[in-house]
Amino acid sequence: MRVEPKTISESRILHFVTIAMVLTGALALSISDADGRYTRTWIAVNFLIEATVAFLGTLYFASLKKRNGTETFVNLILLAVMLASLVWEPIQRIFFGNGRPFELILMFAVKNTFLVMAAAGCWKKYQQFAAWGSIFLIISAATTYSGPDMIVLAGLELMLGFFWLFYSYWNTLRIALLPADKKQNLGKSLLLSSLALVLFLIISFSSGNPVVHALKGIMPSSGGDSRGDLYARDGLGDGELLVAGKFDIRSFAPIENAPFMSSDDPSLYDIMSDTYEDEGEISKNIDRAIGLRMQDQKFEEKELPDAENINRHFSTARQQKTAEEKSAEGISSDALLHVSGRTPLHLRLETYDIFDGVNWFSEPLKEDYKKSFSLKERFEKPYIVVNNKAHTLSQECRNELHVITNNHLKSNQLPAPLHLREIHIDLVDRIDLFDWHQESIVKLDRKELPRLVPMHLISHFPDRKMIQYRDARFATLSPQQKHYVALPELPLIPKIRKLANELVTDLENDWDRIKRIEQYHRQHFQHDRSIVFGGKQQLPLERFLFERKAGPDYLIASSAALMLRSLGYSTRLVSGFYASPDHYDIKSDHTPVLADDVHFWVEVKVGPSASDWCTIEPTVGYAVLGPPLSLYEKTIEAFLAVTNWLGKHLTLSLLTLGSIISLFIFRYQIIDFLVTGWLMLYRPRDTRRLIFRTLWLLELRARRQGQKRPVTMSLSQWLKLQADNLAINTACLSELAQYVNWAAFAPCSADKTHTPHTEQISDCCNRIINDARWIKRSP
Amino acid sequence: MSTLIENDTKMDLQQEYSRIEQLSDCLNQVLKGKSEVIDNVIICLLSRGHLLLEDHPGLGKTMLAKTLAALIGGRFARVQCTPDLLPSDITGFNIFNQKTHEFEFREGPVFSDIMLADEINRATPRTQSAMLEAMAERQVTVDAVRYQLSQDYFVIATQNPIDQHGTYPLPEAQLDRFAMKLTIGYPEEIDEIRMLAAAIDQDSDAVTEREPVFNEKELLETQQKIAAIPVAESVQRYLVQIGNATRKHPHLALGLSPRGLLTWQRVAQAHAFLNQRNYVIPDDLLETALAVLSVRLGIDQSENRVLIDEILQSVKLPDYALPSSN
Repeated sequence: MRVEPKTISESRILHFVTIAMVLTGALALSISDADGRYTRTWIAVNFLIEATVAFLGTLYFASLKKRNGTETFVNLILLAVMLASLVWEPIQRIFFGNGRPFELILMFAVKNTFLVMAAAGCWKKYQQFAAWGSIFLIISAATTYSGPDMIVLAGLELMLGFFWLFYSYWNTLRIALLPADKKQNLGKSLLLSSLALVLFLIISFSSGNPVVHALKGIMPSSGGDSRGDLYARDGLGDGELLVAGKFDIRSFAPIENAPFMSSDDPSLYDIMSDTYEDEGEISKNIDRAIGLRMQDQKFEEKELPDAENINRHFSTARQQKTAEEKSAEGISSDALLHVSGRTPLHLRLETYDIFDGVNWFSEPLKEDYKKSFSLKERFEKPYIVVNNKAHTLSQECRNELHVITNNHLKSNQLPAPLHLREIHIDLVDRIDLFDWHQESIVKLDRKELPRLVPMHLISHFPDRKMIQYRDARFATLSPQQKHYVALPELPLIPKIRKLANELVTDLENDWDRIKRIEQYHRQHFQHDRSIVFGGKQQLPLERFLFERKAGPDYLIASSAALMLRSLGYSTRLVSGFYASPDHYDIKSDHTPVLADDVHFWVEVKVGPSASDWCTIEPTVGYAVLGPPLSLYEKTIEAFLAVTNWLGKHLTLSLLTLGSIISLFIFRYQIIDFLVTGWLMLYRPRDTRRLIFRTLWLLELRARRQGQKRPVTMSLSQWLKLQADNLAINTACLSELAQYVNWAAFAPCSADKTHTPHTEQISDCCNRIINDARWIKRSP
Repeated sequence: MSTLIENDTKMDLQQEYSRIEQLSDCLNQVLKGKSEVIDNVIICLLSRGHLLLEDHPGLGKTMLAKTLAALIGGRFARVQCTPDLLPSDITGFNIFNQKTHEFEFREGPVFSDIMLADEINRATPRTQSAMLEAMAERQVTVDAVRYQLSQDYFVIATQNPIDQHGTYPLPEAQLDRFAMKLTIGYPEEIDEIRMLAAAIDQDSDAVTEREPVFNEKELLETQQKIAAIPVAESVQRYLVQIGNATRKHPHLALGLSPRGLLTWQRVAQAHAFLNQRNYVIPDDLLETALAVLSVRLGIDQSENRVLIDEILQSVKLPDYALPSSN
């Protein structure tokens, strides 16, 4: 027998170094691919999976080599891995909605192949391929990403690469078995590797924007132009379209130009008109008035809207547009805003405080309202602190970041959550640029918000379950501002008050009453924007509340606001946008806010501080953002979701579970049955194959009985041991052992003189298939 | 070599099997109840190896050797090894003939077909070494002249495990020349009764004076046929793996040498032939492992079986699967 000389591939150290090299390359590629899309935890988990696969693969290939496995089989595995990497992409795109550009698909297929090659490094050629491939991986990764972690990985790869080269050379010298031509190849390899490393160093560290130099013109699908490739990544050709980017302002547009661009973009008023139809007329016969006490009336009349504040009132009476008007080219269907961060999110733009029965009016900002902004630095970036008095709703409230990007909303009001704390726009460190639009709404001292500029908003989202004043009487907590509880003097109001009182009659607690009103609206009123109350006979709110029980969100919110005011709680109507989690785009990690997302809701004051307002969402289908869930809460939520799903599909779940358990318990019987049937129906023509399939069936039955043949015991020895346990005579077993030995070890040349008779073999196999079953012994 | 098997007729092989069966029967009559030992002796003979018998006196070692010599129709020689035995007493020497005034070579006991070296460990290492060339190459060199020995030259050496005073343990180089080390052991009670019964009114020389089963040519042909039995690569790989396991074993100073592997392969071929198979299977290696490994692992006899079992348990058997060449 030819015993192979010890070669470099057999050196375990070299094998492990090769695996380490490929894992380093794979990690670099993962980091380059993640580029802010995925968290460090995701990268770490990914790396651990790859390391585990490499480790298990190494064990498998080592045992395969020991078992005299062929390289053809390894090649098949490599081919399968590469194809699987390619096949995975369409699955990912169809079922998960995300994907990678063409060059990354190829790179990941190559990476997976190199990973398997590294695992199969007990064969010399795979080890060498994998070692060189790892350098290719790291070069590719370094050309698309140049963070500090990449430099560390490149350094590590460099060290490992040199070690691999020198060690393999040293080993070659030590064993002194390689022929002269291989030594020449080694010299070439050293030269080529040095060139590759120098090239890598030049590309990785000499250029400020390596991707442009390295890939421009080479990778056609690279770049942010999604029109060319839906899954293209940012890099080349950016500028026209919005791309994902939360922190680097330069990835969007130059700030100098952005705030001053004039356009025909819609204002909030346009969007409301478009979404809720145009304002309608109300019969003059219908009474409508603002229910204020006499001493307050003078002030309110003075503050009623004038021409300058045209968009600061909202009418609940609307009229249907004609079909032509609806289909006219108007506002672009593109998103008005892009929101990055947790959703659902209520972005406030306008609050309405006074209601006359038909119209809601905003309370103008008092002239003496203090402009309270200050500047502070966080991570060397300027942050504008919004110094309106902090809420006292819950004890602990974490800061949470949302990034809003104005795509084409024409407004200078900053769409922001209720408890806004800080604002950061890169390079903007002037507090005089900010002002109050209303008491709790910030505006920019410009005509409109800058376009395509990420605006970082840090806010609080108090947990409604943890509100600390839940047992207090809100009315007594602070001096009430009259207009927040004012009701119009209409015949409708007593009806509303009566209904509200009936709803909360059994409740003592203010917070519970508020929730009851909110819940009542969510349960009893259907949200339907297509219903428009433009009639001249009745107030829209009355028709909505007591007749249709369905309507647009502004009527639902108005109804809730009036009910809450009738119970004595300070309430205001709020309009703005609702960033719906249903619109979340997994690819860009943004939630687009469309014109249709304009929304009305209610805020109620539930604490003593001026900022203790709480969002109440009376419209069904909309949700209020709570604090982020902890890992425990997420686990519980996931568990409940699974339990709920299983509960809904109980029969199916039980059937599936039962089937799985049965399949597991009776797995050997099922396989035995199938194999026996298969052997009875399809008898291999090749005698040797018949013998091996019979042996396989016998060993399968043995495994079922826990009598698996030890790998160091010969078949004859094992069958002698098992003879007493089997319901078949010993002679037949000896015969089978003889045939198996012949089939496995007799060369073809020996067949001519010593081939057992095919009939005998067939007969013996038949007896084994039918009768060779283990006798169960009593314990 | 495989053509030898292919061209052979089944009838020819039947003749071979029949002769081996006769040989086995005759030896079983001499050494009752020791069929396993006899099988190993025959395997050793057929594989052209040499045999080391380690056992107490009076267990039938000499009788076995003499009977075997008679059955293969060869010359038998016996050397009683003592510390004063000289190499020339074994190989032969040149003596000056006064009449012809020339040196004449007088052949030693190595010029026989079966040589029994009794109590070989009593001879000095110098004398023991004199047998190295004869055992390995079937030739001796005396005074720079090379003499060819019989092609059937077969050494059966014995050594006594109890009486270790005044003995010289065999060096590893010499041990490696033996194919097997066997112990005969005391017979069972029933076998001893049979032996006693058979000895009544029987000449002690009668058992050793039997008609030969083989002639010189036939034995050589059989040995050549055995050497041509093919061994699958998976079995050879298994053999090498066992060899590696002996070399790496912490309790063994010396593992199996490549010559040891070659010898074991030949022994396995002979074992296969004895079982009327013309291919080698892993069981051939397993069943001859104790006899083959005992002689060359340099360990105490009492530890042999445990240690060899441990080594065999550490190596996975070849898969029972279609040969890759198919």
